Amino acid sequence: MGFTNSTFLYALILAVVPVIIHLFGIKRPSREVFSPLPVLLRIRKKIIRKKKIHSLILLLLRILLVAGSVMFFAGLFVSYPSASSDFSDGCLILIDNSPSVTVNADGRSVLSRIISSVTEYAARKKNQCVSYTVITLSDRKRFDVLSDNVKSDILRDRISAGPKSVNIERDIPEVLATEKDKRYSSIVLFSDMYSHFVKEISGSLRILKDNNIEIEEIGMPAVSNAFIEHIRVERSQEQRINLIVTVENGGESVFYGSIKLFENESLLDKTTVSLAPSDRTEVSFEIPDGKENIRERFFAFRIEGDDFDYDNTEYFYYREGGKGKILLVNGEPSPDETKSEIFFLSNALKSYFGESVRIYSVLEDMLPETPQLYDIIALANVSGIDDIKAGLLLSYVNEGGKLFISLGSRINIREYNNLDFLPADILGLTEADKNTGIVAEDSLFFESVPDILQGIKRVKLNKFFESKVRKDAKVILKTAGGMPLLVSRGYGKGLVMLYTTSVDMDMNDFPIRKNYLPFVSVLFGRMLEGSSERKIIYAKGKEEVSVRVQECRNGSINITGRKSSEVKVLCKQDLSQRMIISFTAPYENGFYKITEDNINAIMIVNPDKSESVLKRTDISEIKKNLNRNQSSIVSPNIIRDGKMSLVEFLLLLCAVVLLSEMFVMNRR
Amino acid sequence: MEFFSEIRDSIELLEEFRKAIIESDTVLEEVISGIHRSRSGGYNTEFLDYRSYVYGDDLRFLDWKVFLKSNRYFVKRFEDNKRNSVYLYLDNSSSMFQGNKFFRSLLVLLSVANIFLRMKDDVFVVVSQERIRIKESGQNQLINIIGEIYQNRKESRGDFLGLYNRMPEIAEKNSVICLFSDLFSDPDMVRSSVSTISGTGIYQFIFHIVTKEEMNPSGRGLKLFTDPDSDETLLIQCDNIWDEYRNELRLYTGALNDLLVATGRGKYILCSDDIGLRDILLKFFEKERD
Repeated sequence: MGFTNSTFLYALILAVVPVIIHLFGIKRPSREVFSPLPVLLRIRKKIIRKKKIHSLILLLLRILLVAGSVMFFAGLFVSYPSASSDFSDGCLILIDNSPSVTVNADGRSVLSRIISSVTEYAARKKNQCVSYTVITLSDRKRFDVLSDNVKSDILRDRISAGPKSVNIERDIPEVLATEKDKRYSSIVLFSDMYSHFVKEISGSLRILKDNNIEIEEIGMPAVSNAFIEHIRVERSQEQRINLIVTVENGGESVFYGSIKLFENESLLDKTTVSLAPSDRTEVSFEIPDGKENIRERFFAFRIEGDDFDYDNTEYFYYREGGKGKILLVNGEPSPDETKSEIFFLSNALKSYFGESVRIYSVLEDMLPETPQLYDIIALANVSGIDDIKAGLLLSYVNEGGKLFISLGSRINIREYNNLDFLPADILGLTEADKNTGIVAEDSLFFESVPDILQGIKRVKLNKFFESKVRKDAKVILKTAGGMPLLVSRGYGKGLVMLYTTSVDMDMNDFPIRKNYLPFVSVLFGRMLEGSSERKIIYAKGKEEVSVRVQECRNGSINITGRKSSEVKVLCKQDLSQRMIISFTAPYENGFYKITEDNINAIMIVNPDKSESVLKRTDISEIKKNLNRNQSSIVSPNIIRDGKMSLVEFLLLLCAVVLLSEMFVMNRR
Repeated sequence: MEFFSEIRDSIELLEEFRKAIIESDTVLEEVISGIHRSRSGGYNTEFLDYRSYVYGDDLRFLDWKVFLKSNRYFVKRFEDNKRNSVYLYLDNSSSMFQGNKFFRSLLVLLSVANIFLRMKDDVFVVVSQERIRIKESGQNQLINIIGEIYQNRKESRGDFLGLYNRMPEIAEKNSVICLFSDLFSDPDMVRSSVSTISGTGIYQFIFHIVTKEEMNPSGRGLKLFTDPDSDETLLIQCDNIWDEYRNELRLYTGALNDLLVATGRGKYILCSDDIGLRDILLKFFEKERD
């Protein structure tokens, strides 16, 4: 038997109130001449005896009522001793050896504290458990040990911090399922009680209760744990960027330590941080911008000085120029900027992508010799493509470049048709019916903004080039008459998009329609996304990762980081019936490269932020909850979780006392 | 005005008494028509003994010789099977003055006295140690005496038992005592007195004059009860005690009735104020028929 809110027991003093009422609350008697008094006197003793018993019972009832109310609010519970007969398989010890057990506090790690607690527990239960089965929840190690052999050195040899975090709700049922044939006289859990346990406290408690699992104190002091909560990049000035890091102390004691910035394992900068528990701050690292030809940068932020030995290094991948660089080749410039061929396209791109995409524009004769520096090259009404340009573009597309070609009145059809990577043969300019709109052939292409599909139907298409789609090409948009309007074709490692009308208003009114911006954003967004030479995959340790690919083969892939490893992959399909591969990320944080025939990606494995907030639940609270769940509850705490306000309590108490008084008065 | 008020009260009082007389006459006519006892034989019977003179005795039976010798008044008593001495004992203890018990007891007494007078018995009214003889055919005298008792009513200290226990000294063997009382004294002592008197051969009619409220009290809460006779007090919480009380009262009166019936020397007649005078008198005669 125990109390959830023992503070309420002070209110037991109220139990003297009925006694005081009984002793001093006697009413003034009314005087009355009563002739038959001799008759009454004969039964006086009998009456008085009955009256005494009656008032004593009444007094006891009142005291019980007050005391019962107090205990009701104090959260009285009655525990049942666990049945422990006919168990022949000893006792089961479950150890939460999640990575957080490596934390050091007061010179000792959590793991060492857990091991000490286990030995103390075994010594205490020596008469009840002859042998123990020990199972570690993170790495699922299992071993049997006799009670006499539960010693620190033996346990230290066998138990170490596991590779993954422990989720009581998930892991204990799994472990117990493997032990279902065993009959343990008791099951006890040793855990550091960090947030990954308590964040699902109700579910975890249910698991503990359902399986009659005890939980043991391991005496953990408060620790500090700083971690990187967020990183963002700002361009501070020309040739310099600012890495702004939000650091949070997820521990329960003050953090005083440093944050070091590494690039490719070389220390770039270092700063000192002091943080109160649960506090956060921003730290800024200003570093030089990369050179033009350095497009990918790999940063690591390492925190030193906290009590938590868990690897909380945050890895940060930064691509110069944000999402990418787009080169717009203007085939029809004009002194009046609004009449320039690329005016609408350029503004749509800038307004949508902003600073994250760098947009360059050149005249058609100024096509650079190093087109590989750009993620997308857009040819807008470029009159002719000679052999040199064709060669440059061919190698660009072959190596993975993305080419967007829009047509116009100035194009040389013959030269265009000579391009091998062109998705369709251009037949000739044709005038469309004024009411002709645009319809989607591949609606999935615009799935992120489905409203476009209705909007583009009202576009007035005046002219377009009739075309004949080449092999392997795919029509995305077409005219209402069924002629291809936007055709895509994968070529080499790259992609070519052909838009058979103009991107300005020469041949249609699309640029001044509200759907133009979403159209451009989706088109170039998809190209940038698919265009990137490398996919960027963010993951947490041991997390299941899915990556969209063009083709998939079951088997394994090589993941290269500080160590190379081979991981098994599974082929799946997503909701859009696209092919994806699925595999498990490595446990260790860091950068990983995946280079296979069908996938070229960089995977960044970072710590799980939710693991970094080390808010322990008071084990006595958990025990109380556990006991309460394992008991017959006689308090309202089951509804209110013991958080009834004092005002509510007083109101209820007054109501009870008044009701009982009314009852008594009514009897008079 | 006060004078007229007293006159009016007196007239109303006399009216009540006359109604009681008429009621008793009516009942007597109904019940004992044809059982009239002739006493035309006069006083020609054998000498029995002497007894002290009391007011109202016929001076013809005063023994002058004894008076001359002892200087005390004695009257001769003669053996007479046809004449009974009837003593109407009126309890005037304080408790009888609660409610209208005293007045009601006078009405019952008046009716009973009238019946005994009609039956040519010697009727004495005993109140406060006074013994008053009612003359034969003296309805007017009877009303006057009762009216006088009412007018001069005063409470006697103590309960009625003190004097009642001495009644055998006054009443001769085979006489009749009618007790008009609320009987609220120590029940054991009352039973003892009644039993003792029965043992002397005296016939007892016990008219239990009691109010409805005394039969079925219903007070609640804490009360300090005072006995008007003994000034004894009792502080008691009155909730849920009256069933016990009624049961005890029933046992008490039942025991009295059983005692009288068992000895064949009397009858208990309940005269609560919800029982009419006619019913009381009929009950009185039930015994006579038995």
